[in-house]
Amino acid sequence: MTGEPVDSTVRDLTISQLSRGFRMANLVIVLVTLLGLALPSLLSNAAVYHSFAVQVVVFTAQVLVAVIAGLLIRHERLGTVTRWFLLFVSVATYLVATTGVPASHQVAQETDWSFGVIGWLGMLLLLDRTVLGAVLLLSGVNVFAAGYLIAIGEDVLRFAVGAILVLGFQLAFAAAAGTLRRFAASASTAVRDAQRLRTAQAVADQVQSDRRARYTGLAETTVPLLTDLATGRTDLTDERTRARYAVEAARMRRLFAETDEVPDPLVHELKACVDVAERNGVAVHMDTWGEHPVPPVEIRRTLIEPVMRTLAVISGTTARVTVLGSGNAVTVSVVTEGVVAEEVTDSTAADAPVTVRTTTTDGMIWVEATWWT
Amino acid sequence: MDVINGISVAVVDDHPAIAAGIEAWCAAADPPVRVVDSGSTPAVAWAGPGGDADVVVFDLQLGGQVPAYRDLRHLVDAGRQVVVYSMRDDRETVLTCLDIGVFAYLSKTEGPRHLVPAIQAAGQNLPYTPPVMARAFGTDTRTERPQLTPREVDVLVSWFACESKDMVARKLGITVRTVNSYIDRARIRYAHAGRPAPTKAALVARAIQDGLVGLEEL
Repeated sequence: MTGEPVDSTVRDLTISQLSRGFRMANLVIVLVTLLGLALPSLLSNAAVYHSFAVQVVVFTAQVLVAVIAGLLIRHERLGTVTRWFLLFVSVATYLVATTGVPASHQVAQETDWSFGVIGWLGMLLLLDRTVLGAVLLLSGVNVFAAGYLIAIGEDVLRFAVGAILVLGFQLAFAAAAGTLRRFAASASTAVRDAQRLRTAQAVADQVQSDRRARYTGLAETTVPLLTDLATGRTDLTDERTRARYAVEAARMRRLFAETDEVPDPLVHELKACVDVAERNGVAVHMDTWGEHPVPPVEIRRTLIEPVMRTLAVISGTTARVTVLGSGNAVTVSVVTEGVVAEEVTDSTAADAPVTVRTTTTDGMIWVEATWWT
Repeated sequence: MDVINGISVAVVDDHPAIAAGIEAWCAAADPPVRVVDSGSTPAVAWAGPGGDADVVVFDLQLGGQVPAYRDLRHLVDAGRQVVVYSMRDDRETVLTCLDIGVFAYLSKTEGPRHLVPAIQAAGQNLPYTPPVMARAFGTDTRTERPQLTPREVDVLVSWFACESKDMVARKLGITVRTVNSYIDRARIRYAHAGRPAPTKAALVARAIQDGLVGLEEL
């Protein structure tokens, strides 16, 4: 099988893996912002806040949100409900933190540690799901912060200088995420195509090997007969020789029927053998009893073989073929009058999956092949 | 039954060739069977020479697509011995006819071997079970079905597969007589089950009288 190029294509196309790496980078940014920037400013301005304890609680809550989100993303188990809950906690803690800064110590200044965090935290929770949503959140936070400053009568321009710097980074990050999403989508399509191709190839290989196996089967039995015919060594006046050719013709018909897509392959393949007998002028009555499972192809061959041999060498004019299904067995049987030229041997081995039984009486022969499921 | 002239038969079949064929088989039978009337409607079995025929051979598919179960029931309720001879060989149809109380059910493919023997058996109220009936018994899955023993099912399956009681006997290592008794016992169980009908009662009574089955076995 020529699997190497397909496998390497799949390897090249694992861009979706990158998407996860991207989110881990987002997580690192959040943690660095929280612990490297927010924490020092929180500690150094402890005395400034309305309530330092509240600030510590919301800071801890945000660290927890970041850690939980990080772990869930790492194991790809961030569900919709959890996602929205974490986002809600993030936004709520931001609002508590930012409004806890006294008006004299302006929003978006060093004392307002939460402003720099909420944007990254929001992106961590939203970017893989919706880039637009993340951008809307960033806009919302900035509009709120600006509005709040105006409401408390502070200098918006000073805020804007700092805010645009932060927002610029964040928007660039969101844009990169959007591009990556498009790549990931086309990559997964490509991976699916590659997998489909690989499956088709496996099926083709299987069909090919089945064909080869069937050809090998025929080569052992059919080719010698054809060779004899071609070299003129065959004595076609001999009844036994003619019988050998008849059996071979029936076997080939059954092999051809094996590849047909039918609901009941056993009956279908049996009909191919019946057809050969009917062309030889034998009136065959075929009937079924009960339901039967579909036996595997090897079992079908063994089950049909004795019936096929009998049908191919019939000397009478009528035959009755039945397929009997019961709880634990499938039996294929043929009853016909006349002496059969070729002997059908009974297999009585206890461990054989198919047992063959022959009953003869008053010129009638009854051959039964049973598969014990 | 007229002992001197043999059994009389009325044939209800909408194909004249079938009626003619049955007539020929009956004429060649030994002892001979007389076809007294034939036609395409059940009327031939009610009036005229067919009105008191011993056995009615009945085609289920008369013109229409629906099996003529109603006509069949009327004949059976009047105590007539009916042998259904039909194209259909599915289990439901066979079991429905037997439940109505027909004497035997034969598919058209079984005609040459089994129709005349079935008519003769019907004339004497002796059970007769051709292979398609055996299949219907053996594959019956209705909850209210009569319980058959595994051995009975074994014999029914074999009888269906080879159509030769000699070979069934040889395969199972029993006598032809035993094969017959297994098949007949299954048949009598079916006559005893379901809807009551005079013909079914007669079949069961005859079987008990002949010692084929005991009352306690039913």
